[in-house]
Amino acid sequence: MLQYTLRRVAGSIPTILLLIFAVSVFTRLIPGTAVDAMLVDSSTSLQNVEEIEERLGMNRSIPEAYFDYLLSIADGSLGTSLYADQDVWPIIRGRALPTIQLAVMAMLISGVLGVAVGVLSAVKRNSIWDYMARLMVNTSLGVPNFVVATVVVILPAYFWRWTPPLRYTSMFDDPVAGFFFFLAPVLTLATALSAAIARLTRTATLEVMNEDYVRTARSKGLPEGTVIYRHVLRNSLMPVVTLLGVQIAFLLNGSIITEQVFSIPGVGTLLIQKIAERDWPVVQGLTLVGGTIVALANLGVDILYGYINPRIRLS
Amino acid sequence: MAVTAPSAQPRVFTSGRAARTARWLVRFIQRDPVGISSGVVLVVIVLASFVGPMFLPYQPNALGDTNIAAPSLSHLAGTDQYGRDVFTRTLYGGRTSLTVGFVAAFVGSAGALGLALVFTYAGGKWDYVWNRIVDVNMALPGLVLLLVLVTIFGPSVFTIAVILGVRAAITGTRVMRSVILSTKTEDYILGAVSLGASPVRVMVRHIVPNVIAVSIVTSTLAVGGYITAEASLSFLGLGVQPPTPTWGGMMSIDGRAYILRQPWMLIAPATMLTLTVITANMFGDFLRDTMDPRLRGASGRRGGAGSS
Repeated sequence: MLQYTLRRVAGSIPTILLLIFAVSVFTRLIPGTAVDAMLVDSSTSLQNVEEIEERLGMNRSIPEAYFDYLLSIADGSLGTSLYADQDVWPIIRGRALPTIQLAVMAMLISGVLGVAVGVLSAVKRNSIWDYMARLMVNTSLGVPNFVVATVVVILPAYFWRWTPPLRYTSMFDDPVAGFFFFLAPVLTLATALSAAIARLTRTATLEVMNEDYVRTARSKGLPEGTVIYRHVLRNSLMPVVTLLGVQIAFLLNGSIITEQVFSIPGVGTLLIQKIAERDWPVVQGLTLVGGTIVALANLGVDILYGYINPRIRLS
Repeated sequence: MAVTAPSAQPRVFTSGRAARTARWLVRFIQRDPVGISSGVVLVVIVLASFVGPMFLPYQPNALGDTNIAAPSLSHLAGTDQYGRDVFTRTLYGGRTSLTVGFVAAFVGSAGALGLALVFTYAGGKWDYVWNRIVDVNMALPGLVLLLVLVTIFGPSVFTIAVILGVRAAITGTRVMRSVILSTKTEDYILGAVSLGASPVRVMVRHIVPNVIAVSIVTSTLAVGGYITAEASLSFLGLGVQPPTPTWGGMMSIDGRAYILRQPWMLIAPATMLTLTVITANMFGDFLRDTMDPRLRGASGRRGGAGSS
């Protein structure tokens, strides 16, 4: 097992190095006209094209720029913002807390809800519950995030004359106000995520229900509840739990939109703002942090999967 | 609709070609009515978007004289804040959104197939390096990458579709690679090789026909995602730029401000978008159940009612 874990960790190192490389060279895609446009923008303190190119590492060779970027990761700065003369990492870290709260709560809710709906849908297969659940799942996956958000805000106002509070309050500063604030954004983000999880759970559970050992359990006269709980769920939910890790990229995409709708001062709004300002070093930093989180989540899932399923370990 | 006509009275035909076709059609539809009907709805949506506007009296960006009018006989879905006909704009918006979806799906599936063929055949270190690139591509959160690239290359229908498609091509090689690798060990491939077939001939004549079904299925299932991605970009103001109508743009820029008092501005595009994404997904599930040889047996064993 230790050998398996080490092999997986070692296998992910080239990926991370390549990710850093991709992030460090992407400024080269920026056409010259865009650099000119940055000069016209009055909010920048930068004086000329050369200075911008210097700051973006565009006038150095690709290996040099890559090495410089590695150095900036090593000293923990991730480069310097083009506008505020501030290191990139503190800027990102300062905006992390709202996003983490949003993501963790959405993950918990959709994990519980998605698994429950998925299991119900599979166990009561082709019943009215199954059809309703599948209809809901397909609809939630079909409606874009920002429409869900609009509905979540509008409907209570329309029916009960109650609007969810729209001013960001951290759960850690004021748990009660924070709870009411996060209600709407978390529901928005959890809708699509729980639909995706329900879909996965249904497929996984159906697959297990076709296994021979389930038929054996039934034919030796075990009550249906015991069969489902002891024989089906224990086997079907393990891959689902590990698949939750894969959903993290999904969650990151969703939180960009959700933060934007509810004006949450998190990493997603920072990204949109910095893209609009053409503050490329911060955008680079955000891309790198997001990519690393997803890569590490995938690595964690792989390792966890190896613990759960011994057959994987040997391959 | 003409397709379903013979199935209404299948027993009128007793012999010959027509009867056989009719019986085949009935069985085909009975096997998965939901899948078939979602395909029909999808075709209707495509026709309405690409052919429909020719029969409409309004131009999508023509300013009318009544702003924010409720739905009526002259404006089926009402008008928006500039007096533009919402129904017309929804159909034209379908052109934009569907074009993004289908072009991205085509670029993605063709690219994934081609790249996977090249790199699995090249093998060795090329295969290894390519797989690391795929890993990096999958690690980068999609919307972040899309936002950055659209900012750099400019937000047009073409760039958005190509960016989505290229990314899908890179990601899709993972699936195609595993399918090609399992096909490569089949006896008929070994037979073709021992008969002296060139690698290109083996690829084109023996591997591609066997993996193309998987490619079509994955790209159909992805169309909904591309359309939603374009809508999300429009919502963030970085999608296809106004006044060009897109479903996402109509719902975010125009519709959201008026949702309580004038909901029709949002309802028409939202319905079309949701309907398209749902039917594309269900049709993709149906194609997977019927076309993918690996699942054909499995769905039969499970009773064939689909396993989405």
